Amino acid sequence: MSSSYQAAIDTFLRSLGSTHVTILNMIWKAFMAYSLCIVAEAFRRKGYTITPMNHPSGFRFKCFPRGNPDDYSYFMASRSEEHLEIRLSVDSQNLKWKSIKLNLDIVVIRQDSISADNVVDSEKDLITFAECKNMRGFPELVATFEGMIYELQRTRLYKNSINRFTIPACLLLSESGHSILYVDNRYQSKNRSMRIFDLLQPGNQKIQNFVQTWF
Amino acid sequence: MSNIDFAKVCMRFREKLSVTFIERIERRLGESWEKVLEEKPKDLLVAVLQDIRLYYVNPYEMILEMSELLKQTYGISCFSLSFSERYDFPISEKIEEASKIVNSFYEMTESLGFGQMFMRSTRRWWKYEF
Repeated sequence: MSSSYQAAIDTFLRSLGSTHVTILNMIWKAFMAYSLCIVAEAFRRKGYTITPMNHPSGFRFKCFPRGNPDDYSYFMASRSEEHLEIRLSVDSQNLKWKSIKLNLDIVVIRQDSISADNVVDSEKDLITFAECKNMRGFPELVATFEGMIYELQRTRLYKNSINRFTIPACLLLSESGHSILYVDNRYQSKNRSMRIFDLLQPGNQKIQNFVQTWF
Repeated sequence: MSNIDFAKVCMRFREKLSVTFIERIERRLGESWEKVLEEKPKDLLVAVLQDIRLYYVNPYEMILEMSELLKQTYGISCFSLSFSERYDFPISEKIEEASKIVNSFYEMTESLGFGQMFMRSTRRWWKYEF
């Protein structure tokens, strides 16, 4: 290959080739951290003051399910007397229904509501949550998301649940899928407090749409 | 850009991509690699580039944006992704590498005549005021 486009291909493949596969797999998790920043921005747009917390030697994004959440960084969202924590990878369980304990990618919870055993009561203290997938949407993914809602806050699945849960739970995707818009429209037509946002990737207008229209 | 041999470029990528990657593209297009390569090589190349961007380039772009956001908005210049209680990946140290990969991807798509389709954004979503 010798022309300019061929040289450009070689340069790209060389730069990619120098990246070790395991590093790439780890960086794949960047979508969770990226989504946390977008979620914090959505709250800022609604007039909350956003403060990074717990970052003495740099911001540590918690990208794995175990561990004490207080060992990692998070954002505090404050407005008047309301103080919420926006965190990554926190366990939640509906203690009233004794549901399955689930690890959620992003949670928005009341301040200081994580229990001693690192669980948030989804009935009392989970304001909303988001699942983040750096991929295209597909039906099984949506079904999993709805199943998680069933376990934690099943009344979100009801018609007009937006009146009780004012911030929809979200499935956040970095790409689109054929069934996704149909399902999201169905949620909205029934006023369910659930949303699917796709194409959340650098440079895409959909990020603006998310931060402006999520809640 | 009519002198670009799209089929040849597709095959150049195929040498570097995993079987899983190729199968994912075939599922999305609903046809085998060979068939699309023969009938619609340009469409195949676009699909390949879309998936390369999604799985290899976008994560690095996200890191670059997070780096800017954390610095500009919160004055934080050091950040890491924690993958276990014992392992933090110091992602802010990978900014130079990330820039190299992202820049070379967009230079490549531009040179292939897909500049409009694969545009790099200079707009920053956190800079809009409410």
